[in-house]
Amino acid sequence: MIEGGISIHPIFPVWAILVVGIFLLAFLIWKEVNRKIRFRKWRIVAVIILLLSITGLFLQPAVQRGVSSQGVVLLTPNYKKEIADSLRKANDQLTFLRTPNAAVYPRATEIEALSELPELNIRFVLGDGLPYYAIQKGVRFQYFKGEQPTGIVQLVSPSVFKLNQVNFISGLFYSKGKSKVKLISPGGVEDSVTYSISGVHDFTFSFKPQQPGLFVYAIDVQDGNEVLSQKLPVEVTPSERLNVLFIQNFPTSEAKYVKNFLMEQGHGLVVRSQLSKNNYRYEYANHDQVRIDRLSPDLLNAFDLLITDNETLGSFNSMDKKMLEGAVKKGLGIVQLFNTINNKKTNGFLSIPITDFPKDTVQIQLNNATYTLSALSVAINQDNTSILQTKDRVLSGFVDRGAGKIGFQFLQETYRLILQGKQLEYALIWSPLIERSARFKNQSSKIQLENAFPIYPDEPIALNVIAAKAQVRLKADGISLPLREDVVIDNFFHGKTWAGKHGWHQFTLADDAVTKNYYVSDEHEWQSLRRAQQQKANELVSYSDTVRLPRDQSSKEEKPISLLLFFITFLLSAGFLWLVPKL
Amino acid sequence: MSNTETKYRISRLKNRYIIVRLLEVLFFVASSVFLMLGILYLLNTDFYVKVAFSFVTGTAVIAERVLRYKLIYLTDQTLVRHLNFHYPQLEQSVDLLLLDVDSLAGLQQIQQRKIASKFYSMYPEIKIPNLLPRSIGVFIFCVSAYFALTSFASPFDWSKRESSTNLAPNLVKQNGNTAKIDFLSITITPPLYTGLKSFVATSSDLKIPEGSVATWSIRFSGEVEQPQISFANKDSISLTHSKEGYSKSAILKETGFYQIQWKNDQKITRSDYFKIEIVKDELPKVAIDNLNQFTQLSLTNPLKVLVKSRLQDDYGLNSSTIIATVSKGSGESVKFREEKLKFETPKSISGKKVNASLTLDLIKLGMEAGDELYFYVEALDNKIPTPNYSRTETFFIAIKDTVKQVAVEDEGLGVDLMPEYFRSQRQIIIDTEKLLKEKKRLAFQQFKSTSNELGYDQKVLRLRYGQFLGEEFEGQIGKASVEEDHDDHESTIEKFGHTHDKENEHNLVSDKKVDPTAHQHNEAQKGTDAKENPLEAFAHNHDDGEEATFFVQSVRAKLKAALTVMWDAELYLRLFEPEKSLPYQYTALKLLKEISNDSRIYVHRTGFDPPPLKEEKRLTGDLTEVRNSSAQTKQLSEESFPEIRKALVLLDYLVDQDVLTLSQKDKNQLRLAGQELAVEIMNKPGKFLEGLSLLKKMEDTEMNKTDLHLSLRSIQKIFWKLIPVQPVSPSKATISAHELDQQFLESLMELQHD
Repeated sequence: MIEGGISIHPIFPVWAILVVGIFLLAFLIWKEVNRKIRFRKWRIVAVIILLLSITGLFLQPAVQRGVSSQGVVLLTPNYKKEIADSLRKANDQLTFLRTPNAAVYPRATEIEALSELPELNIRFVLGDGLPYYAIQKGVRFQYFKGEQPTGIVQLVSPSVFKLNQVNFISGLFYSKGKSKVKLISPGGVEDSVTYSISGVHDFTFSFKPQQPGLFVYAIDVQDGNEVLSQKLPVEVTPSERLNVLFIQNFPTSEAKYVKNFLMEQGHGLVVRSQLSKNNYRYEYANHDQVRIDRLSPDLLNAFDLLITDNETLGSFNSMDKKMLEGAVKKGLGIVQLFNTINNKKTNGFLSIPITDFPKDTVQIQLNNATYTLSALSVAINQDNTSILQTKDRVLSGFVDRGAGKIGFQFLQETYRLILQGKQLEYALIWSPLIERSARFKNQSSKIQLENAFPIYPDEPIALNVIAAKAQVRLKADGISLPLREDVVIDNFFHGKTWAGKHGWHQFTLADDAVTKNYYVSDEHEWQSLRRAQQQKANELVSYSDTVRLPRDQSSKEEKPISLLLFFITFLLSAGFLWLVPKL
Repeated sequence: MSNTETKYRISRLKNRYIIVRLLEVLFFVASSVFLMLGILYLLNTDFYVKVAFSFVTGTAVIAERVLRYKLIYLTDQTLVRHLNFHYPQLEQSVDLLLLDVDSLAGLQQIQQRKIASKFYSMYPEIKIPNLLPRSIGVFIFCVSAYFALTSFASPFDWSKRESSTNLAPNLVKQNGNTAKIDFLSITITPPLYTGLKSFVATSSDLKIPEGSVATWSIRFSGEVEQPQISFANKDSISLTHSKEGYSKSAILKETGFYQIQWKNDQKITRSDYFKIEIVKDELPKVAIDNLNQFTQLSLTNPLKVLVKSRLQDDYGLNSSTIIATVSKGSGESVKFREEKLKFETPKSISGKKVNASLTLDLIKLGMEAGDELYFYVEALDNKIPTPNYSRTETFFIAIKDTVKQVAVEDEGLGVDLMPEYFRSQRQIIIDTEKLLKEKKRLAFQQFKSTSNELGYDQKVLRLRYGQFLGEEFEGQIGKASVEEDHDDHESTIEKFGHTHDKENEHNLVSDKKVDPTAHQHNEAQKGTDAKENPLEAFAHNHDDGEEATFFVQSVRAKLKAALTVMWDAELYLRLFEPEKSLPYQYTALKLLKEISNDSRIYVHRTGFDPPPLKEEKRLTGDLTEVRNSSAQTKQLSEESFPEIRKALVLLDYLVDQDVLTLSQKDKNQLRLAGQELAVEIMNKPGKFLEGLSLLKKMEDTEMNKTDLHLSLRSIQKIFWKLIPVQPVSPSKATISAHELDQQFLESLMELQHD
């Protein structure tokens, strides 16, 4: 409410205050008139002042002033003073504000909270910039980056890690001299990297988690003699078993060992080997017995992967092939083994076009050792995603076919590794191929966090929920959290909460049993990463061209009248009224 | 020269004597005190003890010297006696010098003057008796000794003896109010045969030879009840009370761990876990260095082979021999003889490392061309009660037979396993036929002799078959080669000495009587005696020779028949009628051949017996009866250490959250994990023992935050290391896409397809 240069912020409705005030004034004046003592005139004045001060206390008035400013320069931590000086020199009309943790600058007023920012006409931001949650949508300003932080400035870490698989954590590290970065699991050092020179270096740590669950690893940064340990949350998800169908015209050792490998890992297996024209041998491992004498769409949809060889694929009749094509389009994976290279005829949709290649042996690196294996003297001549490759050709990989994939393995007699007792190396050849070729599990609901790692206590967390249905109940650490459905997209929800104390926390979708774990870091950790992220986020909203000095713009500033003034007036007038009878 | 001056001079002499003696005593005293201080320094005694001992020694030396030199009662006379005795020129008249002139007679006065003048003249040369140089020497020696003792030798630390053996400070912090272990000492006595001395363990974790006796001596700070030592295999031994505390001995044979446990104020206190690592007595190491495994010699070579063997054992060897087997002959008549040979140098094998050697004289071993010697060296160590045994590979030495070329690839193993006696009958037949052919040419005596020898051969053959039937030497069938050797020997004597039937059936009968295995025959006898016993028919009597089941019944019957026929054959040979004997011999041979074939069929029966082929179905390609087959297996991979895996997740949470105390639920989970850890420690002793101790401590005591945090971290590390590395396993990947995304993908695919 604005009233000619003064605005009021009443605690109670204005009419109520005025009515009560007028009645009280009338009553008190009447009382004072009736009192048979001196200073009647002065007493009446005192009563009026008393009532006015009480009204002032309740109405909380503020004075409005016209401010002539050419915008605000916001100084954030690690700003470069010379840039601020240049800005002031260029335009003296700029208002300088600084965040509480930014260094003091002459005539720069400290803002109390970031919540004041939306009302300010921010033209320049200097230093590390505004936190991502304080950057309003559509807001743009000129950003001058502060000093580059030393330490880890970028971290690429998967949200969940896979059990018994080699997982990677990579990032960038800015060192000012000799330094060392180590990835430490609860069991000890997993990987480390040493830098002898200063600069920005990239690093990739690899490790293989052995146990599913929520863990806290650490990344230790040793810069000179200082060691900074920062906790890194690691969520390891258990492996999910695959249902694999083996169809082969005749048994081979290669297929047998792949079969045994999958069986030992606990995957469901159904094997159909042809004995004679109409006779088959069926094997079921970790799987109920099903009829697989004839392929059907339902049957194929029940499996995640079909492992077969090119000859068997070639012997399928056209109906079976069509059925397989349909299943692959819907997500079924096929891993094709090659027993011989004689059969190069294409099988339409399912075939992988191959050409001759002069070498039939390859040297590959597995588990830090080099192995020589025999490989089919062929090469694939189609766009593919390679899984295992040498310099000159792809040994295993897959090609996309609709939602499914067709994998291929050109390595031969890999079972020799098993016979040599190299189970780990054998697994490195087959596991990635099988996993990436197999059908993906489609989860209908998902919780996504918009915040990047790290999240500090009391920071706002924005999240999105993809739900299978319109009614969603989300719980944050067991407490229900309201969600707002997206205006445009159905079954897409937004929510906001604030991070609690440091440690693991969880969002749960009550109906789908879908969970999302996140870790709240200690405020003192990952500062370099946070600063780098913040700088990047501010750069995104910054004008990219040269410095734009803003046009003159006057704005009104509101300054509340101190309530203490009203209180003192109240005390003085009340004190006078109390003192008068005693005079 | 006046008398007074003489007296004065004598008095001065006396004083000089006293001073010299006192100096001497002083040096002796100082020497003794220094020596005593040096010794006391070595013994590291208290200061007051040092002072007291030094004082006593010094006083003793003073007293002894003063008394010896009679310094207290020293008079002028003593000196006079000395001068009279040692200086003859004074003519035994020095005492006159001390007397007043007036009191002397005239002669005495003359003598006094004379002596006085002599005394004066020799006064400067008079030597006071003393041991001053010696005392100075002793003093210097003792002072040197003192400095040597105090500078180079370190003082003996009395407390050290106890503290070096006292393991109590090494025990984990013990609780405040309960009785603590003040003193713990573990004495290890290795088994006598190891030759190791008893020693006191320097750590509570024991690494000791197998079978050692460990004696724990424990003193508690307060009264305790039921103190005991618990072992990994759940056994526990109670400690016995004695004056000096508690003690107990145990023989340790298995690797594991132990814990000391006691009760005080109704509260049970347990120590940390300590490992017991048993060092097993290793097998002796035996090697032959100078020979190849196969050595072939020709007769022209010197037929002596030096065998050098390197023998080694961790505690000591007891004996070692060369087991040599000579194989003579080939084919049907191959014979083996085993001999135990001792090394020539050294004569007896003992010690930890021995280089032994022996020269094998192949001629002495009775080897000829074509013969082979198989030998190996075996060694036993001194372990008690059962010595460890080990041997080398078998080495082969063959003497090349240049006369005969045998096309056998593996000459060392060319042994025909078919027993020779299945064919000896044929040889007897051949020899008999030959004898009959040559009958006319031979002298009658020679004919008779040959016939008799053949009869003997026939007998030996029969006896051997008798063994198989359980008739003769039942208990010694396994030692056929020895018997065979013996028989050979007998036959040689027989051949040259014409001593017929020296060892006949009667002898065999008498042998049977003294045979230690005779009870079996007695049993058999009893069996015959009890033939009337109707129960006999239903009993299965193994000890009865008649029931011995080497062969099936038909074979037994045939063998019996063969034996009977052999009797007849022998009879006619002995009667010098070989022509009558021949038919029996043929019958015997026929029967033996049958028996041989029967045995072969028996061998066949153990092999694969294929079903007969149906000729009408063969090669018709009919698969109607071949059906689909199916197999179901379930091999869900079992997770190792399930409780430890659960505990790992819990520990990570506890460490991350910096918890102050553990809840009962946490403790329970850690206890379960601890049980799995204990099992693992049993398999891999000592490796993760610290973890078990920490778990126990966490369960028993309330730790402060820092200690708890550190303990949790340590346990976490140990658990983490326990989890085995698994091969990379494929897993189903998950994607979550909004329905719109999926629709988009599907539309895109359709477009692609079109």
